[in-house]
Parts: sequence; structure tokens; C-alpha cells
Amino acid sequence: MGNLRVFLKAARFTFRNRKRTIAFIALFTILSAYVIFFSNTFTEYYRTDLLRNKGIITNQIAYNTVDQTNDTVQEFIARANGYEQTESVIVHRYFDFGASIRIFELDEKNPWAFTLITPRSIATGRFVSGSGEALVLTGSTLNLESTLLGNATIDPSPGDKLTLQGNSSSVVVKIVGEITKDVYNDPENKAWIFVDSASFDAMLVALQPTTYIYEITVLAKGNLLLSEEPYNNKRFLVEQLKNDYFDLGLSPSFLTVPNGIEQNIDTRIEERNSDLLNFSFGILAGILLSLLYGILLSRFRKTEIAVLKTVGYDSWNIRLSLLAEILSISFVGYLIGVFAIQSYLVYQAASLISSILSFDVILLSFSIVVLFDLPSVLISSYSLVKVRPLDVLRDTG
Amino acid sequence: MVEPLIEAKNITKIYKRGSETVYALRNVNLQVMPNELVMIMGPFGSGKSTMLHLLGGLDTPTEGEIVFQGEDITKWDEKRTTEYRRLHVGYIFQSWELINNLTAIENIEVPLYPTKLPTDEIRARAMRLLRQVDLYERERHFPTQLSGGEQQRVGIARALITEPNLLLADEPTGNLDSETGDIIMRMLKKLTRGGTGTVVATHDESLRRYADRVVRFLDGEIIV
Ligand SMILES: Nc1ncnc2c1ncn2[C@@H]1O[C@H](COP(=O)(O)OP(=O)(O)OP(=O)(O)O)[C@@H](O)[C@H]1O
Ligand SMILES: [Mg+2]
Repeated sequence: MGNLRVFLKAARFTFRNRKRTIAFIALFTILSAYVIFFSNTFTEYYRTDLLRNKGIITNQIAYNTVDQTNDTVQEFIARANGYEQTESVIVHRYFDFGASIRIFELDEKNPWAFTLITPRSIATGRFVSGSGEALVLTGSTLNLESTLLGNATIDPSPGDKLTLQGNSSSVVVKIVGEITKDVYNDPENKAWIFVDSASFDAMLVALQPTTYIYEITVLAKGNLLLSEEPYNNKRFLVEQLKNDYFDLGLSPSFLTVPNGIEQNIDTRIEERNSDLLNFSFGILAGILLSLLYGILLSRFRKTEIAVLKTVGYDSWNIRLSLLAEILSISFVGYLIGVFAIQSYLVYQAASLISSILSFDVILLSFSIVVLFDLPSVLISSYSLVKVRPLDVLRDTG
Repeated sequence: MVEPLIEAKNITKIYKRGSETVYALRNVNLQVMPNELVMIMGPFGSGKSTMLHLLGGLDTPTEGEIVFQGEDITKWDEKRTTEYRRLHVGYIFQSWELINNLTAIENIEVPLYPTKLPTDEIRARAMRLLRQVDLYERERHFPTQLSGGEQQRVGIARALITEPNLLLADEPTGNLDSETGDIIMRMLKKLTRGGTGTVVATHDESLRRYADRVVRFLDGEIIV
């Protein structure tokens, strides 16, 4: 109770010391922003490079009515999933509806694992996040003449409902966002519609396409940042998956060039190393700043601590009051840092979901910033706990 | 017979400055009775402050013992001394030593923050004391917004909030004009009651009229 009060009061009183507070909050803000930025880069790096570095993407055609290939493809997926070197297998399907529309399935749980579009490709609105939702390309027109709906041509935009009419039933989806046009260069100039998995399944039933395509992404296990393991796993998996295709009587059709792996590795490792170097620099700066803060704080608060000791504060009361000051300064700095980076991302990406800092990033960077407090807490409590009131207060008058 | 509140027996305090030894106190005996205001008077460097520090558990003597409630406080460890300071001693400084980013009322409350007392009880006590030192309605002022005399009154209230048995004041009027000094001394005199004993160290002869008893120091020894 007493200690808690000492802590809370100290945290509150900290902010009364304007100059000191503002100066150190500013420093902690800069530092936090740096750490958040890099944490975010790493997570983003991890995501965008997942496909490039850990992914093996293949595609296979399946028949909607004759389920022979479908079964074989399912068997292939099961095998891919079974390897120790596999982290996960992500599947996207698509089919053509009429002559001018192509419908893609989006795995809303793994939106980044799609070669064509990612949440970054959103121009307006947002990414698919639930069932019954769809994305279209900016400025695309849906020419429905070849479908049973008739000769209508519509210009869809977010908020519109889209009804796709089959022989006996129809599927309704809501358009939630538009994809920038520069993501694709489709020679057939089809209108693309991206829908969630549930809607896609419903469409397979309602619209009865004769064939559809599986796009199967196999991700290799291993941390891209810390080891070469994913590259080795990927090499291994490429061979295995080729064999599996032959074995199952399918012809292997890889979308990424497996032979390009070797050349890829070196550049990736170089990039990774330079990122790590920058990050380490940030950590070092953080530790130095924290030490500086601890040393300055020991001076600033010396007299005050001597007074507190005279009135009966013990070592723990003093440690807690130092901890409170340091934590609150760095926490406020951190919050401003998050806000700054967040605004920067929103400004830069001009889209919603893709630019919000993820929970992982927040957690990672916050832990780092809290770790930064350690040197200042240690150094200031070390030098202030041993202060003898007499040494400070003697003849101060 | 009334027991003394605190008793210093045969105290010697030696400071070493290089090869030189300074006798800050030499075989000093001092008793403080409850409800008594003892004034230690003497010229600069005569050992007055040293005596207060020893009584307040801020320093230990080279020789001798200090008996408080039947125990020799000089034998205590850091933990018990800290507790002694918190529970039994109120210290008033010559230059007040208020904490600048705390308001008057918060400065008074500070010693009680680490205790188990509920926060509103602490506030109530501090308000009562603020009224006693005639600073009512100055509670939200920061030290820099108060005059020297007012700051010293806050200092007194802070020393009193733990309801100490022993009030120690080192030159409490040293930084004040004589008129304000009188107000402070009258206040200390009035507060020395209910079992509290007060020791004031000063070299200002004009203050002796407030003392119940005067002890004169010269070069670390009692001369009267
Ligand atoms: N830490 C110390 N190291 C060395 N000598 C000291 C120390 N503290 C006090 N002294 C010496 O001890 C003697 C008594 O000092 P003290 O401060 O108790 O005197 P005082 O009566 O309070 O003087 P003043 O009126 O100036 O406050 C002085 O000679 C002083 O120089
Ligand atoms: Mg003195």
C-alpha cells in the first residue's frame, strides 16, 4: 500500500518538472520511434519476404464436376503439409465466370500470402476481413453480358452489393474495397473480383464453373532473420514436391523458379545483416541514452533523496520512486513514438488495415523500450540508495 | 520522576581530515525531557549540528551512547534507524529543503506516503497542520511561490506530520529576518507539548527567551 503510493505519487510528480520531463520524453520518443520503426520493418520484412524467400508457389487445374484431380490435388496438399520442413500450406483458388470476369479466393487469415495482391494493394476501402465480402479493381467495369444476369454493365465501388447469378441460385457479396490497378497486367483484361473463402465455395456451387485453378503456396520452416534454415528447407521441399507431383500423376507447375534460390540467398542475407546492424545501433543508442538519463537523474534528485531519507524513506521507497519516474518518462515517450510512426504509416500508405502497427510490433518494441529503462534504473538507484543525507544536506544553508 | 525522552551519554565525535583529527564533540551529555524545548547555543563550528545529527539518527558517534526508550540507537542497523527517523523524529532544516515540484500540502504529506495510513487520512492530517502553521489556503502553492518564513512553516508541518517524539531544528531561523524568526520560534514553542521534546540549535542569542533550558557548546564541549 505504502510502496504503491510512493510509486504512483512519484510518477505523477515527475511531470511537474517541465524542462527535465520534456527533454527526456523527447529523447525517449525519438528512440522509441526508431525501435518501433525497425520492429515494424522486421515484421513487414518477414511478411513481404515470406513468399519470396520461404515460399514455393505452384498451381494446378481442377475440375469442378469430375473430382478426380480435385482429390489428387488434395492429396498433394496433404503430403506438402506432412513434411517436417513445411511451416504451412496456403491455398487460393480462382475461376473464370463468363468471358470477362475472374473470381479469386482470398484467404482472409493469410492475406499476405497471395502473389497478386496484399493488403498493401488497397486503394480505397479496406481488405476482406469476413465472409460475404469482395474486392474489385479500381475503375473496372463488370460486363455481365456473358452471364445469365443479362447485358448490364456496372461500375462497382465500395459499399455496392454484387449479385452473381447462376443457373439455379445466386451469391451476393458486398464490395468493401478497391485494389490499385497497377498490381496487375492482365492481357485478357478481365475484371477481377476477390472474395473470401466461404463466398468462393458458395460460388463454386451456384455458378458451376467447369474448371478452376488451385494456387498452392508451401512455406518452408525457419526464421529468415536469424538463420539460413528456411533456404535449406526450401531447397529440400522443392525436390520433394516435384517428386510428389510426378508420383501423383500431375505435372509439376511451379510459379516461382526454384533455380533462382541460390542467387537470392546471398542478397537476402546481406540485406538482413544491414538491417540487423541498424537495429543494433538503435539498441546501443538506447542503452547509452538510458545510462545518461540514470546519471543525470542521480544528480537531479540527490538533494531530494537526501531529504526523503531524513524523513524515513527506506531503500525500496527510493528505488520505487526512481523506477516510477523513469518508467513514466519512457512510457510517454513510447506512446508518442507509436503515434508518430502510426501517423507516418497512415500518411504513407493512405490505407487502413495494412498500415496499422500490428500487436506483435507493439509488443516487441515495448519490451525493448522497457529493457532500455534497466540501465537508468540500476545506475540511479545504485548511486542514490547509498546517498547519506548528511553528505548532501550539511551546510546547504 | 519523569524519564528523559532521549539521553546522550558521554558523546564524542571525531572527524578525520587527512592527518588532522577534529573533535566535533567531546564527552558531551545531554538530556531532553518531554514537553521541553532545549536550545543548543554556541558559536560557529562548536558542534551544534553534529549533536542534532546524532540525536536524529543521521550519524553515529565515535564514542558514547544515545538512549531512546531504553535502547541505544547507535547500535541499530540501517533499517531500524530509518524506522526511528520515520516514526519518532521530525527534522527541521535551516534552508527548509522543501521539494520544489511538490505543493505545500504534498511537501507536508511526503513522510507519510510510504506508510499504511489511508491517503485521505494523510490529507486530513496535513490540512490540520497547515492550519496550525497559519498557511491555510496556501496548500496548492509551490515552494517558489512562498516566502522564506512560509516555506519554513511548511518545513515544520512536514516534521510534525508523523507525530514525532523528538523535534530537531538546526538554525530554523538562520535564513529569516528576526520578525519571521520570532513567528517560527513561537510556533515551535507552542508545538512542544503532548510529550514531544524539541531541540533547537542556534547561535542567535535573541532566541534564548523561547528556551525552557539553554545548553552552551564551545569547541565541542558543554560549558554551562
Ligand atoms: N564531515 C565533516 N568532516 C570534517 N569535519 C567536520 C565534518 N562535519 C563537521 N566537522 C567539523 O566539526 C566541527 C563541528 O561542526 P558542526 O557543524 O557540528 O558545528 P556547528 O556548531 O553546527 O556550526 P555552525 O554554527 O557553523 O552550523 C566543526 O569544526 C566542523 O568543521
Ligand atoms: Mg550547524
